[in-house]
Amino acid sequence: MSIRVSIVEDDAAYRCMLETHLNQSPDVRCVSTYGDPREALRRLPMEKPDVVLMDLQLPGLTGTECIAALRAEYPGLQAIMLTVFEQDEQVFQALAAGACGYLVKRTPPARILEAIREVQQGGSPMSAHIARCVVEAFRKPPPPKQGEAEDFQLSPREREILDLLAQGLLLKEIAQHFSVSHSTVQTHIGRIYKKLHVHSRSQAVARLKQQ
Amino acid sequence: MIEGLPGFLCVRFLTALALAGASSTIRAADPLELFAPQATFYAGAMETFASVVDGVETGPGGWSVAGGTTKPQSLVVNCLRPVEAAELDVSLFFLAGKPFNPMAEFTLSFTNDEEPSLEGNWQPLEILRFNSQATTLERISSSGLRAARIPYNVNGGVPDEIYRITAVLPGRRATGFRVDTIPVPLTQDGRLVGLSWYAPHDFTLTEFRVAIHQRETTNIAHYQPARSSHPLYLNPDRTRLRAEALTDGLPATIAHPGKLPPDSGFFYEIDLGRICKLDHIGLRTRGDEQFERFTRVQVSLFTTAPDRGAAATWQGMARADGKHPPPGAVETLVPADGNGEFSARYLRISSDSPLPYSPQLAEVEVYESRCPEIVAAVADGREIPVVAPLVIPPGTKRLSLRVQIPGIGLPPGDWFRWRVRNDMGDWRTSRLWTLDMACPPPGQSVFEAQALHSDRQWDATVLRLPILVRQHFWMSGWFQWSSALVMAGLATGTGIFWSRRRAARQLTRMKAEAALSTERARIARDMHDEVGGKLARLSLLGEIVLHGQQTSTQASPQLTALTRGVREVAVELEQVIWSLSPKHDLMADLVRHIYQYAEDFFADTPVICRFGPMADIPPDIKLRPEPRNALFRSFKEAVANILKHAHTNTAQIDVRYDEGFMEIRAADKGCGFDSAALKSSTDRNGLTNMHERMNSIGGTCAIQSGPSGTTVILRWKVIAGG
Repeated sequence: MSIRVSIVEDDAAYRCMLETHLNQSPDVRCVSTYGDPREALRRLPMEKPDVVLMDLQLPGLTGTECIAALRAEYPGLQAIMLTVFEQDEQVFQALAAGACGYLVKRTPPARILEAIREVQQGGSPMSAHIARCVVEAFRKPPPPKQGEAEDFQLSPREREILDLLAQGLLLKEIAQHFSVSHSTVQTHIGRIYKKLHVHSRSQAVARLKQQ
Repeated sequence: MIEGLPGFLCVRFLTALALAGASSTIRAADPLELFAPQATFYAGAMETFASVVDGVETGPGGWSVAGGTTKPQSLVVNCLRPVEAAELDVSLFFLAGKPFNPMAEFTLSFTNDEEPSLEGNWQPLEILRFNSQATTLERISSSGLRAARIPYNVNGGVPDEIYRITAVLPGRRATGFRVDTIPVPLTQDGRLVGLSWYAPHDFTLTEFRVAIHQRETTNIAHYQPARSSHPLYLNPDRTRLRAEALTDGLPATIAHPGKLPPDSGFFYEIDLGRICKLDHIGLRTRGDEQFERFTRVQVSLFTTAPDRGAAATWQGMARADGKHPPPGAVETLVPADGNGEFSARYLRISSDSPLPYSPQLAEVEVYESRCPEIVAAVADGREIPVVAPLVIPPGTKRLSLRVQIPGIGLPPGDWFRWRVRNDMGDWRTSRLWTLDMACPPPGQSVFEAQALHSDRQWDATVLRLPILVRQHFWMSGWFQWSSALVMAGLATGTGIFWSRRRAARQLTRMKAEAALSTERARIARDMHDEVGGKLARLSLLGEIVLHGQQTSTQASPQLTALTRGVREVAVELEQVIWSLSPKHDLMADLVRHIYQYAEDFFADTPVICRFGPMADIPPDIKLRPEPRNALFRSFKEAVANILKHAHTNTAQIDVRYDEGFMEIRAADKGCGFDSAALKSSTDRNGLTNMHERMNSIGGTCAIQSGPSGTTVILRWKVIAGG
């Protein structure tokens, strides 16, 4: 079974090159490409590809908005953001909105394929930079809310893992540090991402209420 | 906008929108963006079928109905944006490259449903004109056509076919289009039917295309129905003149009545199809010879059908003096040439001249009143609301306005003229919808625009949009005056003159800095969007070519170098954009950037990099660009040295803020070096650069080196600034 991938990217030349290259790999098949995010919004929930590669800067709609809108209809969406530069502030916004990872566009295509496989297997890579952004996002107090308040607070273990990631430790080093398996750390990171989504969503809601 | 996006992104989003509108002027022939085709039936894969609206005229994909040719089949396509137009060009391409055949019989319709579907509400399009390549089309209804059954070619195939159709869009708006194909009887008894004349009675519609039909004329009488109260003149060859000659756009075809008694009440009548406010009417006279058959020509306008006894809304007369215009002249009537309201759906033209064969006309041209509108305004890349007056923020350098002219058709050549009164003065003509101009000086002015008609007459209506250009408060007279006063008060005894000078200098500096900051943001944005995207593409292309080579033979070292080079340029560009952008002026931004740079820098190397905490960095200290760049560039030098010389696999980066000092440490566990031993090399240069950079901002650069590694310490007494 090959991994079904869809590309949402407005730069037609980049989109075509990427599509051609992905299709050369035996385990990946590009099932659709979109230049227009609105069309992608309409079709992707029906196509349900395994992984979506999505440009951050799309005409008329940002990749972040696209992710947020898609996840509402298609909660299983696994999206990797494509960005021109690492420092685009939107990268973190997109991750908070539910993207599974990001890639800089100049990344060699072999690494793009690796990332697709990793995300497909449920991995959620987190760089030191993103870990720092996550720490900062959680430093802002969440709005008081009944019921699930304890749910999206980070556990002490998750905080420790974030700190180690921010210090630049590799996953296997963290696993060794806590004497747990590699996949346990992966699970923790996945849970951090989930809490981040809830956290950023509730913050957005809180901001709306303040207005 | 989504909540939580940084403000600058909102601006950028708007700019992108505004400029997308501005830069891609929609040309008349641009096809509409169609998507999501649906059909009652299609043969082959979904992707193959979907290529019926992929923008490519040729095949092999498209809508084919092999296996379903005995039943009527229908195709529905959605418009990405609702189309608003009076007339459309609809093209059906059958370019599969196979001798498959075009549709035999079909009708066209449109919908205004939000989600066009096969079960939705459909209304017929009114087909005006049509043509085809190989077969001949004939009309079967107002919205339907049938192809003639033509003989096979010698090679047994029927050539590729394109049907080109111009149709009226009733209601002037549509969200989707539909083609219904109808089976035609293939045998005399009609027992065998098919959707195409030729075996296998299938067709392949490789592309369905719709474009707004743009008339090269603003004469709205063009192609409208015309009739006369009495039969027109019978030529000696038994052909009869026809009233349609008045609206066929051809000055060479003429119309005049036969010999009629003076009180016959002869008139021509033209139906414009809807009630229009008119600008002027042109009556074109016969051009080939001088005939005295055009004088005292009366034009009456009606908003309701005149044969039911409605009163004229306007009446006027051309050549009321009884004289005759020269051959081919156009007599123009404007509202002031008659009495009443200059609006009409029906025109009646008659003459009280006793001359026989009168009135004789070659063409009746009716021009609707047109006035340009401003639909978007962009001041230095930011969209501003279009209101009267148009308020332009202070410090704006360039002003862009997007213009549109409602109405049917456009004149060939220039479309309108415009000027800014109290500024440039002279009219300038344009055939672009986007006007880009230097911002008018602070204060009030008026933007004016006037539409041109295809007979080269300017429309009588002029758009007048007041503009108010604001100025920075420190540029305004009262502020300069009062600040001078304050300065003078403070400087009692030392002289008013000098304090004024100083105030003026300060104002100049503030202005320059505000302008510089805007400019930097713009350059950073342009480089990001334009250069960044293209470099990413080049880099991917290089990798793909390399990949192909590695699987076949040895990869070319030049290509490897080129690809690496492109990636390095992209990384470098990223740093330049970062330092240019006025957005990152917090100390915390710099620290984040330093950590992230080191993470990326060592990502593809054997060196494992560790980072200190962010916790003790105060979140709200602003840095000026010079120290920011000096610190970052010195730091880059330090990490480059670690990779080049330390021969280590561990690096440690720490940034601290302590008692007003910022300290950046880049440490390695490498072999260390004797700084005195570095004499004449580029490395020496690197170290010198670090020292010089730090000195230039009043900071220091210390290097501690020993057998257990080297630490570069950049230390700077923080001077906060905007």
